[in-house]
Amino acid sequence: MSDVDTRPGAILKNNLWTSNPIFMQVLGICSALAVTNLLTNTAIMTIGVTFVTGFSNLTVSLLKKFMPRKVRMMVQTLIIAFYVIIVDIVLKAYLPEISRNLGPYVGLIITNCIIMGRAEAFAQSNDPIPSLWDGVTSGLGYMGVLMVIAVFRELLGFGTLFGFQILPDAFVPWTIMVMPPSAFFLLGIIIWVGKAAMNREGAPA
Amino acid sequence: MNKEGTLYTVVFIFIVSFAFVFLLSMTNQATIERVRLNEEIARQSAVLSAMGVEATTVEEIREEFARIASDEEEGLFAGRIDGRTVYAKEMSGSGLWGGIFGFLAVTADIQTFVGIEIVDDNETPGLGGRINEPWFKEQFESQRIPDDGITVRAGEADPERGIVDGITGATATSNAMQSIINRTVEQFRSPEIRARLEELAAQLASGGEV
Amino acid sequence: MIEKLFQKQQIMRRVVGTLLVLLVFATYLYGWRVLAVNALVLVLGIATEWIFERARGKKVSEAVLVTCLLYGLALPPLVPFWVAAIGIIFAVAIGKEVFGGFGRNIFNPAITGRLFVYISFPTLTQRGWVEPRVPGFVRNLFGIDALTGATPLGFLADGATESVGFWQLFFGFRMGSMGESAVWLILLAAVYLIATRTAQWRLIASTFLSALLLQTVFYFTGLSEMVPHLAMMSGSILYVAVFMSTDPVSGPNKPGSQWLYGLIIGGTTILIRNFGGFPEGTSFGILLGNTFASLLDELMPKPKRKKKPAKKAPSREPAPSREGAKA
Repeated sequence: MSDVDTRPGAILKNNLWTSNPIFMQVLGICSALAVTNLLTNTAIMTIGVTFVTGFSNLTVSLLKKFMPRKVRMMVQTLIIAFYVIIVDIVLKAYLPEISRNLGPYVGLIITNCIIMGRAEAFAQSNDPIPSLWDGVTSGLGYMGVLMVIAVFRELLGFGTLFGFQILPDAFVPWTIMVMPPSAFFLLGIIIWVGKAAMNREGAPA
Repeated sequence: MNKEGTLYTVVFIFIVSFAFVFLLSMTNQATIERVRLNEEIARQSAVLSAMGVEATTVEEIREEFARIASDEEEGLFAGRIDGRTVYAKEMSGSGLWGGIFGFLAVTADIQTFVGIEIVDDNETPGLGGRINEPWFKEQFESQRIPDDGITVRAGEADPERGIVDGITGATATSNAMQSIINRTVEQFRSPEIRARLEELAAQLASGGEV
Repeated sequence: MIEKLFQKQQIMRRVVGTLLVLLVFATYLYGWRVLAVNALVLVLGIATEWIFERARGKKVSEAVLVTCLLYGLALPPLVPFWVAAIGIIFAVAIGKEVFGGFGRNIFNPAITGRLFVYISFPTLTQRGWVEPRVPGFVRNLFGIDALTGATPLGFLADGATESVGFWQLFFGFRMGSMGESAVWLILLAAVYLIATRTAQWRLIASTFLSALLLQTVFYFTGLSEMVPHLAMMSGSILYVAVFMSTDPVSGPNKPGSQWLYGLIIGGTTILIRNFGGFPEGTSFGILLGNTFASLLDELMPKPKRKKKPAKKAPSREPAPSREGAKA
């Protein structure tokens, strides 16, 4: 990521499609496997990630002038942890139900490689506003893929979408869709479809 | 001052850490009351729900909970619901990933379940976490308690023989629920706890507010 | 027509032959539904592979017939048709074709598909047994006599050893998956496959013996109630040892690693049977074995004749065409 195009449109397209964090960079896979069996949980989780990526990028970019090089990773981690705890506190205080459902996963946002990856690859060498935008769009790219996985998993695993019954009662839920391994091959299929579409488009792969 | 020097680095880290931790504790302070309140309401609502009392709004929960005699230290509760005495007790144990914590309510003779409610668990969301779903919890309503305890097993529900439906694909969680519930029933039957529950029930009868 | 559609694979034809015998016997035991399920599986399996291979400009491998039959015969007789269909499509598409088709798959496709439906639809694939009726043709015509009774493995696990007869097990007159029950036929198939050098005897022996050994240890230390010799004739351990562990594509190639490979399969099977949440563990055993197959080959001391090329996938491809010289 040496000379990055920092125009907002370019960043958007890059993060949502041409170098989507999930299916091009294959980052943040652990959470993609863990939380995607229910759409509601996935939505909240990915909103959390989007928020954290955006603001940690912004903060890293603001502080980069003062940051000694050798401790920059430490500081980035500190900033990310800060925002993750904020998300956790806000969920506990205002959405206790969801906070209970997500359990330990919110805390685990900190281990999401996308956040640190964007801080290091983009925010460290760009201005605050493009950095914020980059973080938010990366989060959205992550959200997009996870939501697609979650649609399949919730629909086939429970017969519901966002908790509403969609498929008839006669439908037999596919237990494996509820379990993490299903996300593994669904993700594989999505990467496959995505790359095939990209090749057809003729974009540099 | 040299940006890469040791002194600058130490001072920088100190200031940054201080600033972020300060902001965090501010946020925490600002919401702590709310979080505590949420937890208390969640707890009270769980006790009520285990006992089969309907209460949705915060006011209702407070009002209904005030009618129950409770021993918060022991986690024991007694209430008169629809003319019969119902006991509830905290239950806890280890699940697949971490502790499971909730309440179990039984009739005064400890022969029949009234209901269960889960307050906190770390089971796999959508898998073991389904112990929070109504279909699972509703199975316990009016379920007779066999002498050797209930069995939680997926796909083999048989209320007559004390078998409730477990969660397919989450055997560990199903087994954990089984042992937690059976252990709690044992505790209900121990003389000290029974005595304490009867005391609480007596307070109810004499109209004593707790 | 046949020549146009399939690439010729002699080794696979022998396996298909033995599986067809099992299919006929299963039909005899459990009724015509067995044939219907397997026909559907074959059609869908071939169609799935054809769609993928056409895109690559290749023909369908005859190995897909083996995959289809192995998968079909591993299902219970009353499995719903749609479940059988989902499993075989998954087996061929995700278990085999996404890896690049024949010779490149890491996992045995038949087992991949079977485990997919086994985990997804536990109530439909861990039930649906039919009591063998001889002749089963008429009475079991549409599989009306659905029975949720226990299989021999279930009886053994509950300690009801007296409900399981040795000769019943040997001749296959018991409830179970379509192809797994006839011990005598599977043994004959093993002899034939080993004699024609289609299957590697070491794999069969190591899988079977390690399971037997572990079960015996558990039985005599009181950890398990399953009588070893009956347990080895129940469930699908024999079927898996003869037909699945010997898959030349997903298994290891060196003698040392073949012994270890069988040990993984046999050991996993017995551990899951006795202590796991599932009644039968053979499928998990195979998948776990597959996972380690290449690693085991890699860890074994290098053979003297020639160095292995660095790239794995192409080096494995010609293996099956060596006509079982070293399957």
